[in-house]
Amino acid sequence: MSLKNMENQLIAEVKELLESGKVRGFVGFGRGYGMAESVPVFITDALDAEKLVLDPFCGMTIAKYVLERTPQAVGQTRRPLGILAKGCDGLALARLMRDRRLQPDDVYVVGFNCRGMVDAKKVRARLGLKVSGARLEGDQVHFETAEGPVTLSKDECLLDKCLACENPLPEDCQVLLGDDQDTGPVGHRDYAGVANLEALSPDERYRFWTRQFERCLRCFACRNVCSACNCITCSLEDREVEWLGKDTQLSEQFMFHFTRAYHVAGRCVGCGECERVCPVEIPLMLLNEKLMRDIRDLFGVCDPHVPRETEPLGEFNPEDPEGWREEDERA
Amino acid sequence: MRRIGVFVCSCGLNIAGRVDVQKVTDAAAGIPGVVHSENYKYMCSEPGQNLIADAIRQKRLDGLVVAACSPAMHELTFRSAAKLAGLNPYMVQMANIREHCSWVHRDEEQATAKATDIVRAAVEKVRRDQPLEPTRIPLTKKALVIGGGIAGMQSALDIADAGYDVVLVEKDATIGGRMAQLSETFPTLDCASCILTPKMAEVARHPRIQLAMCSRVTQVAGYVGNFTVQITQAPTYVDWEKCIGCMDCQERCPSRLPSEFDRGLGKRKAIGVDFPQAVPNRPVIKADHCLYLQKGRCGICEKICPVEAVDFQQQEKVWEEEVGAIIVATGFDVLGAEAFAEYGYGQYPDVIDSLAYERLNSSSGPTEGVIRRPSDGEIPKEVVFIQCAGSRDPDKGKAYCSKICCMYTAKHATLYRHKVPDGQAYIFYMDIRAGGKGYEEFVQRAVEQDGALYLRGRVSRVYEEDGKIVVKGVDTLAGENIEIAADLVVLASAVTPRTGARELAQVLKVPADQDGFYNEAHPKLRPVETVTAGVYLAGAVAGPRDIPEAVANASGAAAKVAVLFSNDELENEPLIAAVDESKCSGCLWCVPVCPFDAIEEKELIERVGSKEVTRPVATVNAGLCQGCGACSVACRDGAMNLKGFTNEQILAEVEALCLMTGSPE
Repeated sequence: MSLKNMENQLIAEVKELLESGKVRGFVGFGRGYGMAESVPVFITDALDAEKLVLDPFCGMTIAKYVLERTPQAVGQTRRPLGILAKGCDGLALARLMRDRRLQPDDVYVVGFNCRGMVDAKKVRARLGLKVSGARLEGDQVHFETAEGPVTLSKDECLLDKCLACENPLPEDCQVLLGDDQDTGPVGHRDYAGVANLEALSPDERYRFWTRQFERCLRCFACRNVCSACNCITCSLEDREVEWLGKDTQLSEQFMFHFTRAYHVAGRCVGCGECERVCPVEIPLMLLNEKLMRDIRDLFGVCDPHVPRETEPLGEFNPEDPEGWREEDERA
Repeated sequence: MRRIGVFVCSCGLNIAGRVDVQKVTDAAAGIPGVVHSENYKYMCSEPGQNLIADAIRQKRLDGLVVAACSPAMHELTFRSAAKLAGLNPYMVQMANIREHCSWVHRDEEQATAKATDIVRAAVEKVRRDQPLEPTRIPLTKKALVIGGGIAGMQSALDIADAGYDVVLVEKDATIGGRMAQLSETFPTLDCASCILTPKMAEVARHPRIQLAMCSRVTQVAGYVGNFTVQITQAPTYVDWEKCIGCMDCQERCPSRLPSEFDRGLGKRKAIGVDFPQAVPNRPVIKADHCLYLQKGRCGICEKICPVEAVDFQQQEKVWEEEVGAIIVATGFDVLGAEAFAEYGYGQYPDVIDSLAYERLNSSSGPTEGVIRRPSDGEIPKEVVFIQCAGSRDPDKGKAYCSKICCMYTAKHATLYRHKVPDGQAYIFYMDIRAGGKGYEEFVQRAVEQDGALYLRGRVSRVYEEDGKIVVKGVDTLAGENIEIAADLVVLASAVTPRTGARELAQVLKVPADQDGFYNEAHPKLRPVETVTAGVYLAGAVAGPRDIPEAVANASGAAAKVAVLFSNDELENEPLIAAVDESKCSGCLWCVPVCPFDAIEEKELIERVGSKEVTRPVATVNAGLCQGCGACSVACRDGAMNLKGFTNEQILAEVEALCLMTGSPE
C-alpha cells in the first residue's frame, strides 16, 4: 500500500481514537515549513487529525516524545498516548519499556511497514533543487522538483539508518496500517564505517576523533533526542558528583562523548537521531556502531540493536568465559 | 574540615627498600587537611597500632590513611585499632604502597613519587568518608551440610557436638562418600571401613543431626544467618520409617544391574543397599531396573516385606529448611572414560581406574579383596599403573595436579605385592609428590620393600594383544622405549569436582574456578570460607584433597560455623550499596548484574503537581548485598552508590591521581 493511502487510513484511525477517548493524544508527523520536511506534531483534538502527514520525509524517530507525556511525568490517569511508529520507533519504544520508563499500556501504537525515509540533506546535495514531494516505488524514489520529476535510487537518497534497517515493521502494534506484505529488511548494517576507522593506526584514529570532538558545543542535543538516554536525572548534570566539567577543553569533550557512548552501549537501537540532530555533524553513529559490532562479535548477539530482557552487558553470568581476555594473554 | 592522620609504614624493607618513606611522610604533611603524618617500621605491630591510637586521641583525628600493604592484608587490623581508639572504623583508608608500588617498581625516585600520589588519592577519599554503622540481623542457629562423605560427616559431627542442629543432605542412599569405596588408606594402611563406619554410625545416631538421604539442594534464598534452602528428595520406593532393614527384599529381587558403587565390577539388585555397612541401612529401588516400575510385573519385594514398607507410589518430596550457615562438601569424581582413548579405558575391560582397583582390594568388594582382573577373573601377574592420567595435562583440560594419586598409587603397588607376592607392579610417573607426614617414607617402602618399579615417563599407547594389555611408553631416565605386556592396567585418573558441582555453585552463588572447583575467599588466610558470607567449603569441593586434609578442612569449616552461631545477632557489613531514589530512573539494570540477587524493585510514591504518582525504583536488601559494586557500575544515572566507595569519592581519588606530581615526563 502506498504511503498516501496509509496516510488516509492514519487520519481516519486517529480521528476515531480521539473521538472515542481511547487515547488522550497522538504523536505523529505534520507538515513542516518546507514541502520536503515533516515535523512531529502532538494532536489532542479529533478535528486536528487532518493535519497528520505520512510521506517519505517522516524520518525522525519520535518515540521519545511520549516520555514527556507519560502518566508518571504528568500525573494523569492511565489513558494511553497514541503514536505513529516506524520500525525504528518500535525499537525505541521497546528500549523505553525495557528500561521501565514506559509501561506497555502507556502507549497505543499505530504502526506501519516502513520502506525507508528520504534524507533531505542527501537530496539537496545531489539535486541542488527544491523538492516539493516524493514517492517511493520499489528501489527508487520519484521526486517532484521545480524542474520536473527526478528519480533517484534508494541507495542514493535514503537516510543512513534506513539503508542499515533490518527491522522496518514495529512489533507489538495495536493497529497496523496498510497490508504487511514485503516486510523484509530495507537495508543491512554492514559496519563499513567501523571497518574503515579500525584500519587506521591508533594515532590516526586519535587525530580523527580529536577533530570531531573539538567541534562539540556540548548542546546535549544528542542526549536529549536519544531513546536510550532516558534517565530521569542525567549523571552528566549531577550537581553532587561532577562527572563532567563545564569547560570545553578536549579531555572533557572526550569524557562527555565516551560517557555517552558507553551509557548507550548495548542499548542503542541504531535510530541515528544523535547524529541527525548534531549541529556540528559529529559522526556519533560510528561510535555507537563500533560498540554494537563489538557486542555482536564478542557476545554472539546477532542483532545487538534490538532490546531484550537480559542484555549482554547487563547480566551477571558466572559462565562468562571472558574469552577475549584469554586471547589477549595469548597474543 | 577533617583532621586527617597519615601513617606511612616501612614494612621492614618491603616498602622502605624501594620507597623513600620519609619523603612520602613529609609530602603527606603538606596535603590540606592532614594534621599528622608519621612513619614507622611496622605499623601493624602493637607499637605501630599504639602510635595510631595515641595520635587519634592527641590530635583529635577523624580520618586515617594508612599507607602500607593491600587492604586485603591489614585493613581489618587498622580498622580495629581505630575503633579501639574511639574512631569509626570506616574512617580508615589503606593506601597500598607495597603490592601496588614498592614490590613492582625498581626506580626509587619514581616509586616514591607514585607512593605519594597513592597517599594523596587516599586522603581525598578519606576527606569524603562518612562514619558507617553496621546493622544487626537475627540468625538461625542451624547448619546445612551438603554431602555426606568424610568431610561432610566430620563437619556435621563437629557442629552438632558444639550444640547446634545440622541438616546433612546426601544425594546417595548412604553416607560415607568416596571413602566408603576405599580399601586401605595411605600412609598407615589402616582399613578405610574400620575408621569410617564407626563415624557413619555416630552421624546416624547423633540427636542433633538430621539426615536427608537421596536428596539434593535445589534452591537457596536468603543470606548469612537466614538462608531458606529447598531440598528435593528422590523417591526411594521404600518407607524407611516402616523398614526394619532385614534386606529380605534384596535377597529375593530377581533384577540385577552393574553396581555403581563397585565401579561396574560387581552386580547389585534393583532393590537393596550399595554395600552391607550402608548407613542408614535401608534399601532403595533403582527405578530404571525395577521390573515392577518398568513393566508392571514382579513386585516380589512388596509381597514379602514383613512390614509392608515397599511403596511403589512414592513421589519426589520437596521441602524447605531454614538454616544460618551452609557447608559444601560435595567431594570429587574422577575423569571418565571419554578422556582416555589412548589408554583403551572403556574399551578393554582390564584397563580400569583407581577407584575400581580400590573395589578389587576391598574385602567387601566384588572379589572379596582378591586381586582378579575383570575380563576372566585371573590373578594378574604384571600390573601397570599410569599416574597423571588426565592430570597435569592441559590437553585434557586439567592443568592441575590431582595431588592424591602419587600416594594411592604407591599404596596400590604395595597392596598388590602383599596380595600377589610373585607379581610385578610398574608405575609410570611424571614426578612423585609425597609431601605429607610419613608420605615420602611410604613411597620409599613401596620401592624398596615391595618392589614397585617406577618408570619416569609417559605412556603413549595401550592395546590388546594375545590376551595381554600391551603398554607402550618411554623411560626418560634410561632414555629408552618400553613395552610391557600387562595383565591389568590401572589409571590414576584426574580428580574432578562432582558432577553437578557447577550447577550447585550457581544455586549457592559461590564462584568456581575454570576446573569447577569452588573458590576460597582467600586461598591462604580464608581457605574454608567463600566470598558468599555464611557458605563454607570442606574437602575436595575446593580442589583435590586427601583424607587428613579433608577432615582438617571440615573441622575448620565447622569451627567457622560455631563461631558464627556463637552470636545472637549478626553485624552486617555497612559497606553495601544504597540507592538515591530521587536519581533512580527505575530501569533496574542493576537487578540482573547483581550476583547475589540483592536488588529488588520498589514502588516509590511521589507527588507531581497535586497528584500522587508511583514509579518503580531499585532497593537494596542489606542482608544479601556483599558490597561488590557491580550495580553502581551498571547504574548510568549515578543513583546507586557503594557506601565507603561512592562515585564522589572515586572521582576525587582519580582527580588527585591526575595531578600526578611525581609522574615521569
